[in-house]
Amino acid sequence: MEQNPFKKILFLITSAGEAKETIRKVHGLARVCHAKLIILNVIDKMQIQRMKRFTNQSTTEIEVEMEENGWKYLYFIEELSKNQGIPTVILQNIGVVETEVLKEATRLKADLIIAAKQQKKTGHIRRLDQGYLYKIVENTSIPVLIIK
Amino acid sequence: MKLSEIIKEEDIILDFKANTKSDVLKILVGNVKNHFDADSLLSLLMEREKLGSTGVGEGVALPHVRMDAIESPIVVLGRSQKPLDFDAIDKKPCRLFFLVLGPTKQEAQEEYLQTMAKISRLMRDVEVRQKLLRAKTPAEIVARIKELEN
Repeated sequence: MEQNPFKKILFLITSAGEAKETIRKVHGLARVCHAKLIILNVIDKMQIQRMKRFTNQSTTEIEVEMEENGWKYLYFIEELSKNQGIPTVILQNIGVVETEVLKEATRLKADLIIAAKQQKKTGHIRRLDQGYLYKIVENTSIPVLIIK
Repeated sequence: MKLSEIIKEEDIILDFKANTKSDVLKILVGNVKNHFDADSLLSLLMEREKLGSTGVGEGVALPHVRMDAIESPIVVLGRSQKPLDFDAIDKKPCRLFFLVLGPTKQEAQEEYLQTMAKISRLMRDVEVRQKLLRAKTPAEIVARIKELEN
């Protein structure tokens, strides 16, 4: 049996913020596998448009806020990872979530994709969430682990 | 919090000569005007680099570390004379380097993360990068950053 099946793990984070427990599990798996962690945040273009309907902010202002919050969260998780000695790189893209995940997983030769399923979401947001998770699973030959 | 208030003219090194990642870090650390032990800071940064390059892509790198002796974020901006391999995620060589040193105390974490977030966001923009690459003096760099923030 292969000793170390996952050498590069792509972990998709979301602006909703992953539960500490999810991050702990991802770190645990990366340590056990001696894997490199690629943490990806995707700023969802559709989410920007949705937010625009509910605020007085311009598209640019929303984008700036989402980008900065995304980077802050990425650097926060990166530090947690590096403090545990886990090789980590961070990445932030703007686009369609499933497209960016599949593009980066292929480009960076990830051998496992991890995404968290947000339990607290309801209605439209929940359907969208399930939509991109479904599309990721359907459109890749890379194993996908969804943490509930 | 504004980057233009954190990045000071004296913290900008333009067109330095270097060949390796280690050279770059030595030059940036050498410009930190404080009472830190440069060797310890350098080895801390190298250790972090081993756990994943801070080359964020598009020719930009953001080596960063938190230290007890720091009260508020310090940024040293370096521009190398020629592009250098920094093991960036997109494999592109880097010319712009932002060394970010932050405090370890929890209450200052927000400012540290915000500083890196602002730099990372600004550097995604190709025009911003071009402006910093073309600037002739540290004063011009600070002026450009101020202009962008306003």
